[in-house]
Amino acid sequence: MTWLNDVLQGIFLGGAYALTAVGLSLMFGVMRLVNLAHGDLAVCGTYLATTVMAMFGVPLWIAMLIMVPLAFLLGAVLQLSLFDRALASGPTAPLLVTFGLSVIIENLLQQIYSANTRGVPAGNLDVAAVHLGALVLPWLAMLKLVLAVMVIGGLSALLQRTGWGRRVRATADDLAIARLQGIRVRPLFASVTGLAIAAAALAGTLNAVTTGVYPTLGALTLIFAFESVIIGGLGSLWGTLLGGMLLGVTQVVVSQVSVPYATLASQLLFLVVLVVRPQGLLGSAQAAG
Amino acid sequence: MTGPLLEVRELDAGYQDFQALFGVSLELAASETVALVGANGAGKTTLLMTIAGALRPSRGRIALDGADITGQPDYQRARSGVVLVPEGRRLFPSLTAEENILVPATRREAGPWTLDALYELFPMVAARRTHRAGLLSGGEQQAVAIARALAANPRVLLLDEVSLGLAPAIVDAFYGMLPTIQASGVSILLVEQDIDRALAASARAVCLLEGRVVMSGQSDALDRDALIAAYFGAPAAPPGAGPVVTA
Repeated sequence: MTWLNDVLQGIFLGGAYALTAVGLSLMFGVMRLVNLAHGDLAVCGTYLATTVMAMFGVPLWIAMLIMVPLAFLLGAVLQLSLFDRALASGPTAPLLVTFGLSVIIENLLQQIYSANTRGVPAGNLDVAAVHLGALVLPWLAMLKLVLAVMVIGGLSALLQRTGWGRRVRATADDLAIARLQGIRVRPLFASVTGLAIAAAALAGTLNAVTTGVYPTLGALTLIFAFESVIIGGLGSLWGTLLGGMLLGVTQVVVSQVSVPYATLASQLLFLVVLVVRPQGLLGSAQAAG
Repeated sequence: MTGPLLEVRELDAGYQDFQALFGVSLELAASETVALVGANGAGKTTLLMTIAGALRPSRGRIALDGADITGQPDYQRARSGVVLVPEGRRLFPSLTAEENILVPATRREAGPWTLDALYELFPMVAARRTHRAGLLSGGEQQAVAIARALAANPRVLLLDEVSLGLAPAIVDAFYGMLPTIQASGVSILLVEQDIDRALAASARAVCLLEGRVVMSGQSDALDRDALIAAYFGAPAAPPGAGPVVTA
C-alpha cells in the first residue's frame, strides 16, 4: 500500500505544481509570452501576504484575500507598462524583459526582506492530515489540489463560455484580425496577465506554508512550473494539471528509492516528453510548430 | 448629409521602406458598391488594410461621414462602421462558426444584422454554427467571414477577393447576395480579380496600377479594352502619364 500512498502524494504535489504553472500556461497560450519572472512574481505574492499578516496581525487566509487582488493588479500593471511593449518588439524581447524583471525582483526582495528563509505561519495547516489506513491526506495538499482544479476549471469556463473568453481566444488565434474586428487588446491582455499572476501568487503562498520563502525561490518555482506546462502541452490548461501530476508522481515515487535521484527523474521525464512528444501530452501539433 | 460616406484623399501608405500607395483618392457614397480592380501588387489589399485601420498612412486623409478617422486606432475603426473581410478569410480557426460571428457583435452598433438575420442570409453557416471555423470548407469559411463582418453592422464593408479559391457556383451565390447586403444600407468596396464580375457587381470601378489610380468611372460605361490596358499598364496607359479617364 505504500506505493499507492506515494502516488497519492505525487498527485497532491502535482496539484501544487499545476496551480503554480497555470498562469504561465495561460500567458503563453494567449500571448505567446514566456514569462521568466513568473516564479519571482509568485514569490512576491508570498512576501506580500506575510507583510500583510505582520502589519495587520491577521491570519493567513485574510492576508491572502487582500494579497490576491493586489497580485492581479500587479500583473495587469506589468502587462500594460512592460509586457505589451516587449511583445511589440519582436520574439526575443519578452524573454529579455522578463529575465531582467526576474533579476530585479530577486534583488529587491533581498534588499527589503534579507536573504533569510521566512516561515509563513498557518497554524497547524502544514502538518494536519487525515489518515485512511496507509493513506495520508494532508489538508494543505488537498487544498492546493482542489484549488488547482477550481482555478483551471474556472479559467476554462471563462474562456469557453463568456464574451471575454471568446475575445481572448480570438486574439490568441489572430491578433491583427481581432483588432480589426473591434477587440481592444490592451485591457484584454492586462486582465489575462492579472489572472495569471493572481493564481501564481496564490500558489506561491500556499507552497511557502510548507517550505518557507526566500528571495531566490522564484527560480526553482519557475523550473517546475515550466516543466508542467511543457509536459502537459503548450496552451492547454488541463494539460498543465496533467503535466504537474506526472511530474509530482515521478518525483515522489523515485524519492522512495533514492532521494537524490528524484529531481533527476523529473528532469528525465521532461526530456523524454520533449523527445517523444514535443507538443506535450494534450497540446496540438500546431502549437509546437 | 450630401458628401460621400467614405472619402479617401491623397493617400500614401506602405510597409516600412516599401511604399505601396501613391496619392490614392476615392469616394464611396451611401449604399454604393465600388469595384477596385488591378493586377497583383497594384496595392488593392494595402488600400483596404489602410482604410480598415491595420496600416497607418504616411500621408493623406480618410473620412467617414465627414469625420476624419485617419488616426483612429484599428479596434475603433470597426466600431465606427468600417469593417474588412480580409483576403484569405482569416477566421479565428479555434472558434466555432457562431463564435466567430459573435466576436464583433459584442461591441457593435445597433443595426439590421442580428444573428438570426445572418443565418437567414447564410443558411450554410447556420447548419455549421457549432463547427470549428478551421475545419469548414472554403465556401463555408468565406460565408462565415462575411457574416462576421456584417455582425458589426458596418456602414462600409471592405471585401478583399471573396471569390479567391472558391467554386464558381459559390462565387455566384456570394455575388447574388451583394444587392441584399447593399439594400440594408451598407456601402461596399470590392476587390476582385475577375474584371467582368467586378464591373457587373458595381456602380463604379477604380483601377489601380503600381499604387496609383489610373482609371475610374461608371462600371457600365467603362471601355473594357481601355480598362484592361490600364489594369496591365500597357503602353497605351503608362502609370501617371497616360490618359486618365474620369467619369
